[in-house]
Amino acid sequence: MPRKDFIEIGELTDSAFYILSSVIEEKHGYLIMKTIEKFTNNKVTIGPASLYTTLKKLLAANLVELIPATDENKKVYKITNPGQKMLIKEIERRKRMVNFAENFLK
Amino acid sequence: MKNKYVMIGGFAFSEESDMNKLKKYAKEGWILESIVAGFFYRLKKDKLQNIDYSLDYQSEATEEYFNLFKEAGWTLIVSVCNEMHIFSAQEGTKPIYSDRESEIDKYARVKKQTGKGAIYSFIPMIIFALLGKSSSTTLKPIFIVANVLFIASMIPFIFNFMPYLAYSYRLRKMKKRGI
Repeated sequence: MPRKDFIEIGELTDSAFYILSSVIEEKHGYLIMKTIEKFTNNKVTIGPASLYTTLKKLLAANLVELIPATDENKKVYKITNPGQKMLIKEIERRKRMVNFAENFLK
Repeated sequence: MKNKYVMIGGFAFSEESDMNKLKKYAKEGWILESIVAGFFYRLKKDKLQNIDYSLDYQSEATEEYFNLFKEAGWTLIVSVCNEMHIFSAQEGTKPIYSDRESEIDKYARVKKQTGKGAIYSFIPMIIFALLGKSSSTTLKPIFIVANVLFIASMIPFIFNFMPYLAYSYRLRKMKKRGI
């Protein structure tokens, strides 16, 4: 029984969510890591192995694409149109979750 | 230069305990240098160090892959068959996997590979077994050769099938742990 991939289910894992958001503006791998740390005040760190495998998945699903880079050594990633749609859908889903919980906390 | 050789416990079965063992050696100044003959860690005498070790499976390891690790503080020590990679970092460096999903992928990948390997190496085993059986009454020399080959062909099978079981077990445990 193969495990259903998160992309097939139509939901993003937390890591994929952070990575996809951070490549709305194109970035290379290490900058993605640094950006996520910076904007979450070091609360969220993506490890190199997690980053590499998640990026490969996002690429395979056509949610991000490679930008022809100026620097040979660094692959530069950018969100695609389907990626953008997926991200917006995911933001809505996560908002609904938060709203739901907040109903009961008030 | 002083070297020490330590038996590898088997990555599939004792990844964590092997990495911890290497960490303990580093604290005593024995630093992992390479792997020899597929069965031994070669350690080199150096100053005492607090090091964490991590193992990753990645058959599509590119320059980008190693760069990402380097930039995150993880130095490549040794790659085996361009498939298994051992990294080291200063103690306390953030782990190479930060979420369960991608860590499950790590083992799912290598489970699939060893599963394939087990199937492919099972085929010659069957052929030699049948050959041995059918020649046992008629052709004595072929019978002996077939049996020798049968035993030899068990080795790759075992080295794929046993890890396959270990990875399957680990994956089942990991998935159960999740909510």
